[in-house]
Amino acid sequence: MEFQDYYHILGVSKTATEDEIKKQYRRLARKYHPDVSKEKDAETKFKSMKEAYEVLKDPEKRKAYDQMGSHQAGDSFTPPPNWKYQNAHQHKHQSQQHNQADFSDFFESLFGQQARGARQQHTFPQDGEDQHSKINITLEEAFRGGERRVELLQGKNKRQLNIKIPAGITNGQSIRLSGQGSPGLNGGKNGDLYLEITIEKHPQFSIDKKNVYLNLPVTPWEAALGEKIEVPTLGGKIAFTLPSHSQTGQKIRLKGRGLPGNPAGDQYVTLSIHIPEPKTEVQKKLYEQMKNEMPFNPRAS
Amino acid sequence: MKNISITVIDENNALSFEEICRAIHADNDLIVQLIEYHIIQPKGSSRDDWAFDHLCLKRAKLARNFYYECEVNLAGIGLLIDMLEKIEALENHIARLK
Repeated sequence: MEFQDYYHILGVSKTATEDEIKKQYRRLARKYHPDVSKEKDAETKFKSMKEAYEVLKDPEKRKAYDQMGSHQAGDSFTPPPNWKYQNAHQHKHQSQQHNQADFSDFFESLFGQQARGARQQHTFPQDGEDQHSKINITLEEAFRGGERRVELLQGKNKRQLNIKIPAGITNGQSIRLSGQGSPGLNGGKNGDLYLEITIEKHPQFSIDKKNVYLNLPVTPWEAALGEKIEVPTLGGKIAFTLPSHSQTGQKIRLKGRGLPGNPAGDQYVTLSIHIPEPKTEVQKKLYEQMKNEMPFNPRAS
Repeated sequence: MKNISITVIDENNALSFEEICRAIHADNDLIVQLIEYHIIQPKGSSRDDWAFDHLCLKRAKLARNFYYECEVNLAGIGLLIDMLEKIEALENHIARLK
């Protein structure tokens, strides 16, 4: 087991006051909290900060930790023989504040349940905790639904689960897997597992809830004359007739062509008119002819 | 490997008060305060028939993290979550314009 240098992790001196530790933790939390941070490895970094703070903010834990003496971070470490940590002011809702299952073996051996004499505490049934994880799915999977094998890290164990992705699921929704959270103890119920869905960016379509958006390039004559064109949708290509005199930026709604549901989302197609480059003399003449026959100033008004 | 039965949490399959407290590992009091501060707005009028949909779950989870892990107060959490949602909406909007 590796020694954790909590002072170094938080970037405070060994003589730092409680107030200094608190301020420094809050500064770091603002920078590295995974829900707001764009920093690389924010999650891992934040996890070790949380652990360091859990020990250093608590005078009794800090005292016990200081008594370990000086070690280098990463030094191999074994708790002193007969080590038993019993905090008189053990906070009632500690596990609600920080999920200690995420903490290092070092923390667990010094302040975890083992160190608090776990055997006595666990003779009564105890329900397992609910757990959370996130999964990324493709837009196609959200549209069609499907089966997905997910690998989860629960505590220190890897688990694989086959789950059904229901068609029409949207960004930010959660699915609940009953009984797949932390196992209950002594006959207690298993916790549930919540998976929050993130739909990955798609090269062609973008989404907002159940609606799908697409930019569609069209030719000037398709837009002007209102021709029949093919449009990609998540369910495959469909043909429809453009209204004549269409313009760039105009939105066309394809009802019910978004993500399925009750009601299903729509697909919005934003037109973008692309002008062919005149390459030959004849082609240049055509533009000349348009200029003469169709006087037009889009900057007027 | 067996397949597992799942529930999609949304308006039709919302969580009860007990379920959301359990789901996000929060004191009952914290959830009640989140409602009082309008950080989450469940359907229903009392503890017994409150229904928390996926948006409540997502916001409550964020609120819980900010409350315990960043030590932000509830007024601050409300602002923070509103801002995060605005940023997310703007980022999606930009993605659609590209």
